[in-house]
Amino acid sequence: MSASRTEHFFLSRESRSEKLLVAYLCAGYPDLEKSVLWAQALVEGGADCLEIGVPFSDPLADGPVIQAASQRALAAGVNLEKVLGLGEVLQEKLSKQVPLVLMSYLNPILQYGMERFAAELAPRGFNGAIIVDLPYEEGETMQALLCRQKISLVPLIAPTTRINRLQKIVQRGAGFIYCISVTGVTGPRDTLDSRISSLIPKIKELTSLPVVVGFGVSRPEQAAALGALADGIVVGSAFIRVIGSFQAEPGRIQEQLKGLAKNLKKALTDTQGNCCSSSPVVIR
Amino acid sequence: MAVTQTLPDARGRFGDYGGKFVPETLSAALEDLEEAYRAARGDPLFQEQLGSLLRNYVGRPTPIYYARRLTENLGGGQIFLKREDLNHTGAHKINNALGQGLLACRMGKARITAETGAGQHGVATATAAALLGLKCEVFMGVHDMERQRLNVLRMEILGARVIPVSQGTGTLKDAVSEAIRDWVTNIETTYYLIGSTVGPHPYPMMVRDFQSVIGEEVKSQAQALWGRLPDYVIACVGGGSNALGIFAPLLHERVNLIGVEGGGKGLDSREHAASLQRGKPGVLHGSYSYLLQDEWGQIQEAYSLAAGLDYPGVGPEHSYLKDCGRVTYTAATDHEALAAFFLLGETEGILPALESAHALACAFKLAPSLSREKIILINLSGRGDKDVEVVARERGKNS
Repeated sequence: MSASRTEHFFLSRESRSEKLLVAYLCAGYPDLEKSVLWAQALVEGGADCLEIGVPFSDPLADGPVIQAASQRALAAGVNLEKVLGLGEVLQEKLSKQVPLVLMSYLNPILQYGMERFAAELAPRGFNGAIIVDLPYEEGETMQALLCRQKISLVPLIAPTTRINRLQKIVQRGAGFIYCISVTGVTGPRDTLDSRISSLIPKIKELTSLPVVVGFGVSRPEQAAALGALADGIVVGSAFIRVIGSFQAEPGRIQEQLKGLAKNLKKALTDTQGNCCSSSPVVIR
Repeated sequence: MAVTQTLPDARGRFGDYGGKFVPETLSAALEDLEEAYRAARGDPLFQEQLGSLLRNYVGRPTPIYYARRLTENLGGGQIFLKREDLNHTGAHKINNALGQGLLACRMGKARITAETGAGQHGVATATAAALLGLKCEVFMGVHDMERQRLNVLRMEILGARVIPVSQGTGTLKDAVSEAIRDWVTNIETTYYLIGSTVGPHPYPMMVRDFQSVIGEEVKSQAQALWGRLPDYVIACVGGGSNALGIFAPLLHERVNLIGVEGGGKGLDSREHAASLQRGKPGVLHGSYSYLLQDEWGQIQEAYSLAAGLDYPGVGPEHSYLKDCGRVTYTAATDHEALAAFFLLGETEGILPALESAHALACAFKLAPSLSREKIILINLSGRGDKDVEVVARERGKNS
């Protein structure tokens, strides 16, 4: 794995000219070979970073789309070991190297062993980790283990996060800051929480790490509105939905994923320099 | 052996167990809840409100009843029952539902939600909501709705909406997950009223405290009845709230405490709910505790004929009490619980909840080995009316 990839991931906001499109995939939906194809399509469409989700039996923070995909992946026999293996394959097969972030709930990691997990991420091609149910006060040990391996533990911030807590979270954060757009679970929505338009500038004041917004983001108009506020977006359920709805014609999925990624990236890019927070039509 | 009275610690831990493993969106709500609870706990007005409801509405204190015919039938130690089944709504669940319901009012929340397995907690929450004028929605697995139909009707008559949960296995675990997802979404307006000593801190502490009224009563009733404490106290353990309610005030006393898990079709089958005896520590629903899970950390389906025991996790304080050896945990199978259900009905005219029948089954094995002066107290956590359909079906199978 090249040193430049790590650097790319850690680029500070000031030195980055482009808005980031982070694409989420549920690993092994519907199987691991297909996940490689989907990843390729997303990167070709312009995704700057891939978030590889480890399926979990009880995904508390996920809506119906990702719940169903996770169930399907688990039924296909996917586990943490295999998701790490997927990282290796992606490292080899992607036409363009982008940072890989592993997203998981805590329990699969605990059973795998925290130290073993931390030690294996980098050799398997991952640059960072997001652990959905490991909030700030429970995360110290994991953060130290990952830090030793030069892996970023990407923190989550919610519209309900208070300022004193926000400061602590951001201070310890690495890679990028994942700002949750709504009080709710993952899944496409028409409107986003109005609080994020004041939350994002607050986070930006505290860190030079890129601030990306996720949960509920699915459409180019939302990408455009959020692109004006934040440094990028995370899109997940919208891609998973594409995979689900073209199951009868798998050949078209790659094309559709690439097209959606391209539209989102274009919408993000078109907002470059248009940094006013009063525009977002989709923010409630 | 030392069990400190100050548990959980400031991080919500009972030894290694417990904690707050939740998505970030919930963190602020848990802080608010803990603060509101601590304020309420120290407020004499709140205690008086709750105390008055427990006396005049619930019918507390519940009696301790000597099961003479049962004792004679089994031979050996004397069997006494702490009659939580006599509470309004028919189980211990109302103690906690009223406590948290009052807290929800204090916090200005207009909507309460709950998960339910056997339906007893759902009924208790719907009752508290009706009494306090709150909107109530209860998440219940589709499988549980079928086997506890009577309780679904009771909740609906009380004005609650029962939301069927078909995800996963359609049982209590999935109802909890769905209730948490709802809470994440409606966090500003909603109070999530957890029914057992599970979930993220402060829930395990709070539910234990509200249920401790059971054990506190036992302490004073024991003096009047026997001039001493019982030798054994036995309770069933699903999430573990009725057990902690009776155990917590007795942890520092010389009393043998026994928790009975749902043994389903046997601990060596894969169909049981014995998280403490067959599980491994892990994180589910916000806390670190023993869990039924596979080698990859995926949560496994629990099984028990008793819907209220059918949960792959257990309260973190029970995990702590198991590891430090203060409480002995054992299991009773479906079959043993059914036998106990019938025996109590036939000898004493009391139909126990199938959950409580697990505690009875354990006592029935123990009693004959003890001498007559030994006192066994069973927490009869609920009444069995809700279970008659299931029991009739099982009897049909076996005859």
